[in-house]
Amino acid sequence: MKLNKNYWITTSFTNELIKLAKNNKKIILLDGDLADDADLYNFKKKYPNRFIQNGIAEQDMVSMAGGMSLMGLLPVVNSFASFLTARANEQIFNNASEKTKIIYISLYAGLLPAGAGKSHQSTRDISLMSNIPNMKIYHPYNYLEVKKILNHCIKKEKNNCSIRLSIGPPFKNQAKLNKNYKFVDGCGHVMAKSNQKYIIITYGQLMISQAFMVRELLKKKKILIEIINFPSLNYFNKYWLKKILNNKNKIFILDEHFKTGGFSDIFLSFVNDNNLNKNKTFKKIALDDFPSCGQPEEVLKKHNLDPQSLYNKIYSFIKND
Amino acid sequence: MIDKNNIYFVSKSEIDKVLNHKLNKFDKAKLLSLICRLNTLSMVKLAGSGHLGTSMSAMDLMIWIKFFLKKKKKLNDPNRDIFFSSKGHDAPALYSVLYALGIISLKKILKLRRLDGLEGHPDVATSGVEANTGSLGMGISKAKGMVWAKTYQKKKGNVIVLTGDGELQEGQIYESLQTTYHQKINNLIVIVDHNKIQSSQYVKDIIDLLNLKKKFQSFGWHVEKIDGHNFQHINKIFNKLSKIKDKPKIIIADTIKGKGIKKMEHPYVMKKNSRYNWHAGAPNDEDFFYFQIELIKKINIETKKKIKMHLKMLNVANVKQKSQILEIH
Repeated sequence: MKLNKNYWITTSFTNELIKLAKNNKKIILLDGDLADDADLYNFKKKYPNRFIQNGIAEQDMVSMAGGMSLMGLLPVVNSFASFLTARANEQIFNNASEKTKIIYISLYAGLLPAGAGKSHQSTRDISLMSNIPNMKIYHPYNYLEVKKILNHCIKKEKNNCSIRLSIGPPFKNQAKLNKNYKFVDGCGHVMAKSNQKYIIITYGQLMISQAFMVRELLKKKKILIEIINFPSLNYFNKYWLKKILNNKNKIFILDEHFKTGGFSDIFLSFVNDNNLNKNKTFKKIALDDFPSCGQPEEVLKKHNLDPQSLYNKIYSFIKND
Repeated sequence: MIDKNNIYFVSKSEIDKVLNHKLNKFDKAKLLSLICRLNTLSMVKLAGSGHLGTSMSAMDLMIWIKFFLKKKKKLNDPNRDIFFSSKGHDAPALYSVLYALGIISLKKILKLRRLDGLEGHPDVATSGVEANTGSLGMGISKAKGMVWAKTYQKKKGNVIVLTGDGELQEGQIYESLQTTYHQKINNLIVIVDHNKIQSSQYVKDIIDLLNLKKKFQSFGWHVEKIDGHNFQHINKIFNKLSKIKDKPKIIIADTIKGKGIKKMEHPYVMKKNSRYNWHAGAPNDEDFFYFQIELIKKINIETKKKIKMHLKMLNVANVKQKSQILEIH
């Protein structure tokens, strides 16, 4: 993977937004003074009249977007997920209750980078956003998937969208998506196949990369675990899921979020409600404490999300099979 | 003959007699405000709950804006004038005005706070409602988004948003005051329904707003103060503000919570009680009867004097028989 910035999720998002805005004059970008972190000033350069700098005033920004969408525009609202989805949650709920459509950029979603600490790491936004009935939440895996998801959100989706964006470059040797990769809302994507009964379901560049490292470690024990990238975090296609889970009986859900109310919780509720859990064991692997501050490796280890800890946990559940 | 056990409304056909009469607009506004006050009171009585105090304080401003300021346009015309209340607690007042304008039906009015009726706080699913409000502090932000969108799409029409005074304790208000000025969103008028009471106590005793005029001016806004129950004042100020283009505008409208029903008006209530008791909730049958009689008498006197006719009162329910509805504050 080249380290060209176009391969960053954030930069790719912005490039695609600029492209989509060309033919859709309704797209307006609002920013809470965090455009730098996603190269969103490139949008401003291209469309100065369609970029609103709203300063560090998330509640005001979100309600302003609400007023704009009531008048037929399509606002795209940017701030860090931890500020946007939490501080302005009531405003987001209020907008959603008007049945308009707004796209929220939940920037800096997840555990990493961890240097800024818990005020900035966003590990509860899925829970906050999923409690809004007409809100779809996505977490794209890489530069390619983010384009597909943004296209879906802007062109097809009727609901409000929260697009979680990981900050930072892609990981070294990160698995690629096929260039013909198609994003289908509610469906995942098999990143690594296995005929054995084990599967990891996860999303995002960090967790999928961790999953691949766990897969390598498990191989040494002659265990081959399947990896599913599931970027639609609160909307599931039952039939696709049924097919994927068909021959599996140990399912590990890896979630870059608090254990309560995150992807793993929503996923398990869905599985339960749709009777997809027969003869299967599901394990949630997620955060159960405030996200720690530190270097990526040490923080992952602290939360038992480093490859070795993940391996230990997963192996302990399958070694007696 | 008014029966003390009945709940009366003035129907749209009777309101039209006033609207179609060649009466000067100030007298017409006065009559309409009395009629809408009666309909608001009856609506809340029927519902069993609702915010009467704030509905009455905001009524005259709403009447003027909706009947005499707005240019006639279809409800979804992007060039329409937009008015909404940020506090939204005054929804019964808004509904009575929308009914008088023929935008919502009597059937709806009779179903305030009921399933498939009219929501306790405004919802865009109701015809004529421009924004979902009720949770305080969001209105100026929303309104500036509407103005921005109008300007961007080269659409006409002004945007007016009403706030409460207790509402000014919300932090988002000050975010929006800063950004509206900085973003040069000047075609926006904010009106503060300054009735001095929040919930059951004086605003100054809860959290004092101090010098509101200076406060708003320091945020870069053009500020005016008016009597929010004086139609001549209201008219004059809107004419003046239409000429001010270089700043967003804010009107501090001095009002009386519960205005129009003597025993509901806050100066009277606060002298008698230590708490204002008409913030939320419907009056009991006895109070309701006296309030209703007071308004009906005023309507009769005014109609006799100004349009030489008598408006029929529509009996919609018997107070004793109406279904029991919980009071929710």
